[in-house]
Amino acid sequence: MHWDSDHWIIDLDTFIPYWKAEAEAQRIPVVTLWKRILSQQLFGYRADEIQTPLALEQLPIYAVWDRSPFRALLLLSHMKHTQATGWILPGSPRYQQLWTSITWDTWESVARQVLDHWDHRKPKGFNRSRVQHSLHRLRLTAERLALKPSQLDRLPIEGIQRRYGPWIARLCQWILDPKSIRNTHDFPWETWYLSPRAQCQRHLDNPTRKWAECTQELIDDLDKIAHQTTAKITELEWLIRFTTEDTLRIPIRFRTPHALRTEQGTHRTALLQLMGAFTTATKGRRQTPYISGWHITITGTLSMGIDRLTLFEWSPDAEHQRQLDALANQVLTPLIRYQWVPHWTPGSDFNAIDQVPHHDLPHLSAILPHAGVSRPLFTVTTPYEFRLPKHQASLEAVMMPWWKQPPSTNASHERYHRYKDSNNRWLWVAQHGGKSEVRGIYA
Amino acid sequence: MTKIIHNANDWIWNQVLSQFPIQFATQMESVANHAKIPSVNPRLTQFLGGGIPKGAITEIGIPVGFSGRSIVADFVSHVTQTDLCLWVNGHSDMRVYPPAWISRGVNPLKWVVANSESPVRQLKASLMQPIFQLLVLDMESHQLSAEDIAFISMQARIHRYAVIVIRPFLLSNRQGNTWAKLRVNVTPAQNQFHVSVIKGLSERHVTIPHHVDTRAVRS
Repeated sequence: MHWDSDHWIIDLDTFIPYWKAEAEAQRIPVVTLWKRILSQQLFGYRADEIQTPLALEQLPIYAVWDRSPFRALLLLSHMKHTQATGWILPGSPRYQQLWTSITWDTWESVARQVLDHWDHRKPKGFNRSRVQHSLHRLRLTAERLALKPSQLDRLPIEGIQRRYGPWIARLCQWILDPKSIRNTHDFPWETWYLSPRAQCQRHLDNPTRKWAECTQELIDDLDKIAHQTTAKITELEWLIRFTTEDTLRIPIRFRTPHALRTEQGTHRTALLQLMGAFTTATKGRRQTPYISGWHITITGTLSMGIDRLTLFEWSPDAEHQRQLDALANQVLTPLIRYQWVPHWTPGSDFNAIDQVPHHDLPHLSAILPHAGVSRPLFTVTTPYEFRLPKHQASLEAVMMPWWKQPPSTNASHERYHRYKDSNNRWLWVAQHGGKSEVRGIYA
Repeated sequence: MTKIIHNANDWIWNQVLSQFPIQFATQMESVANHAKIPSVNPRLTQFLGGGIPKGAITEIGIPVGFSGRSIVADFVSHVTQTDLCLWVNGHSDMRVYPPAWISRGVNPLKWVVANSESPVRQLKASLMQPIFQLLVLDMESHQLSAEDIAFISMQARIHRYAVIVIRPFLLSNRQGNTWAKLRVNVTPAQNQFHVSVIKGLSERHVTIPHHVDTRAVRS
């Protein structure tokens, strides 16, 4: 991510196995490999300039490794402020010395950069002026308590949340618990693209509110984009501008990668997706303002070919797969195919076909499919409580996976019954621990 | 192998089929070039004069709550051995439970499910192409308008696929869907289904036993 004009944040976690393998192949530590790549690719040094470890360490650059990008930004800013160049690794004495000497000015300046990024994305519940005011109040309080930024962990996080709000609490949490960034997805990551993204901009001569009057212009724009990229698109962003100076940003995700070039001149699939997304985004508005223009940007592509299902291109299965892939992008509701998973517990015994199945008991795969014979074809969307008469004979008793429960828990069964209700409908009722609920219906 | 099965009586057929539903797949041909879609239940196929007609709508009245849709699942089971089938579920309070379908012989690779209360609007592209040999629209009573039915009927005729529209109530022979070529009612009887033709064939009815094994099973 290009944080600002001077700062880059690079997430190395995603391909750790690759980096480890590469470093092993070159017989150098992973950190040295990263240093070489960053020096050359990001800072523009030649290979002969960084041949020796000493040359690498003495480069006049600022670089920090940290589990928390926010903490890394704080350290980077402080390094620049004190002109302390070098590579800072967590746990090193230099890291600790820099961390403990960070000032409140640096802390507040980096926190404001985060607020700028949040302001750009406009997450739900975020009020820039309110959060900025809370940020300043936190600083005043900490200074009165003679706390440095590195000593914020002395304040309880629940107290910070209560007094200064959830957004400030999040900033503090990112320092105390770096893993929380991955869990909450609140850090304003923004992907940086290596090559310019295919895009097209349009200003309408006659602003319009009608879909039919936009169609031909959209087709022309999609044709232009199709000439810019041969990759199959998985995601695009449609930024619509209105005559009221408002904008509407609509992200559109294709269920299967779609090649724009296959539908040049018509773009039926893409138009369907655009129309569906526009209808959903403007639902509930009394009247859509006049559209004065738009900007279409391709934000996700797939360059590699999709794996074939069979060796033979002309097999019926491959043809069916191709037809379904194309159809998935032409309809407004998902087309789902299921796969059976060898598991005896109802609910855990299937998933959608695009998910990797988790096989608990593959050796029972010859027996378990027949467990479904006595079960209904349909489940209820929301199970509801049901009073089952006592001494009701059950269809089946399913043992719960006791090895996944706390050691003190006894193995228990869930009993399933087929019961006729007062409306003469056969229901599939699950009974466990004295409680019963309707899970399915014999429709 | 197929000839032997057709000559067996219903009880043997149900016992064997419930245990080995997929093994007959290699013997089955694609329904693409056939005029009707048969069921895996030969008695039902014979009763309907070879199966449900392609290029037309078959309307079936099946109230919710007595496993009546397993009759339709038998057609899905046959089609999905070789061809694609789309099941559109229009009931917002129900979802398919795939293992029960798979245990009845439906091939999950060829069985596509969509949850939609307005299939003509949301799934138009699937209606206007001959991708699926069988489309089943399991809708609540108010979801398909007369225009929708007319559109679906026209597309089925053009692209030569079979459509089954399931209504959650019993059909009347006094007034009904003029676009449906075949209209059938399925009603519960003692551990059986009572299937009766309202329109499209000579007046007839048959009793089909349940597939469900209701004996208590410990797993």
